[in-house]
Amino acid sequence: MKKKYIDITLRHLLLAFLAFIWLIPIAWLLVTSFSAYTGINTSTFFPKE
Amino acid sequence: MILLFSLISFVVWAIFIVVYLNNVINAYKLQKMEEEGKHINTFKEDLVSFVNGKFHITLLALPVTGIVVFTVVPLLVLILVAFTNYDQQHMPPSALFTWVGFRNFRDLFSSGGLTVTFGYAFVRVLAWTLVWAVFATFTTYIGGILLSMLINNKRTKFPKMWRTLFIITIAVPQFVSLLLVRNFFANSGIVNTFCANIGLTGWLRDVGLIGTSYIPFLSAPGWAHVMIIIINIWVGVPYQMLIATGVLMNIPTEQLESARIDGATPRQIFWKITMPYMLFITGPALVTDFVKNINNFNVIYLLTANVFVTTNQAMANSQAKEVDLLVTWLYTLTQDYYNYKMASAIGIIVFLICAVFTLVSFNNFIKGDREEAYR
Repeated sequence: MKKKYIDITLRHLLLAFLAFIWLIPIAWLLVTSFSAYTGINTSTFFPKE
Repeated sequence: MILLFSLISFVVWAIFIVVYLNNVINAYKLQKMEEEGKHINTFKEDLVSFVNGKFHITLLALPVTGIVVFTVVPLLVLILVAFTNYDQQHMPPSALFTWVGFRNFRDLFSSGGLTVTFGYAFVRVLAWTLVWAVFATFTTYIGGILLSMLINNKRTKFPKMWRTLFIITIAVPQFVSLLLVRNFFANSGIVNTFCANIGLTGWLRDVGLIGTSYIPFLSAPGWAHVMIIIINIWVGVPYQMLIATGVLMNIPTEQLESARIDGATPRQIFWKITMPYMLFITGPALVTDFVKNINNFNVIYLLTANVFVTTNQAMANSQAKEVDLLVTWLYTLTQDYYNYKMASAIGIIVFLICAVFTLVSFNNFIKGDREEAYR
């Protein structure tokens, strides 16, 4: 029974991790759209202004 | 223009010859019918027959004309360009181009000195094209199957939510997402800043993997090749996941049940039932994917245009880059250097590769007669 719970937790952790990686660029797309910075060489994930 | 008009005249000639031969054959048939005393259609009866008995010909006349005018003739012109010297030095109307026979193909497969390096570049570009196609197809395919099995599993909660999260990446057009990822991994982009901050860049420089103050994710040959394949996994896995989800849901459950009752381990079920079934259903799609990846313009071009500059002089002489596929090379040749003759020759080679691969794989590996094995 305990083994089953570990399995379920690992499964969801793996899925969450993958989904996180898959969504990083999309999240960045969203936050940059609110950015006031006009250059292309951004060096911070969240816009400064 | 001269080429175009002469080709059109040839097409008109061909049509005329076909009509003429048909006319002779028909006249002969009518003569036979006359001798046998059968009824011979008048012109009006012939016209009426095109609305009744031969209505399919009337219906198809317009589409066929359209295909000949808009597809066949331009295609023939483009194929013929491969046998001319149509390039920047021979641009009509100031300078006419002429026939050169198979010289372009000879150039493409041979290289001499530093000026003619098409043979040198062609071998490298072709090798990378094939490596790319194999990796891009199989990584996304296997990744998609594993991901969809993970999501489809009974123990996974909220499968729809997970699926949606992965599909969001499909919702953003490739133009946007790939250019975005290109900036993401730029020489002075976010990932490089991050790597420099946690000391990864310095460590890699100490090890000797890079000689620059940044990690050249998309601007040095080896790095760019690996990064392109990894980014393609990001692009392609959600699509394959969708396809695999549909197929996995349709696996006959009685087979899985009986295998489980017979004491098969999950691993055995996967390799003996799931994978053969997947391969059987998605085999044709896999072949199409491979051909599509050989011609995958979007990923390569959007990720490396204006970022990757080749340092190999021999490659640069034939306007190729290490990360170019045959298609992107063809694009650069036509758009930036007006080298239509070589581009056309490359196009024909690409077609030959794709056609041979498709024919061989469909004839040898995908057999339609195995269907009853799964019934």
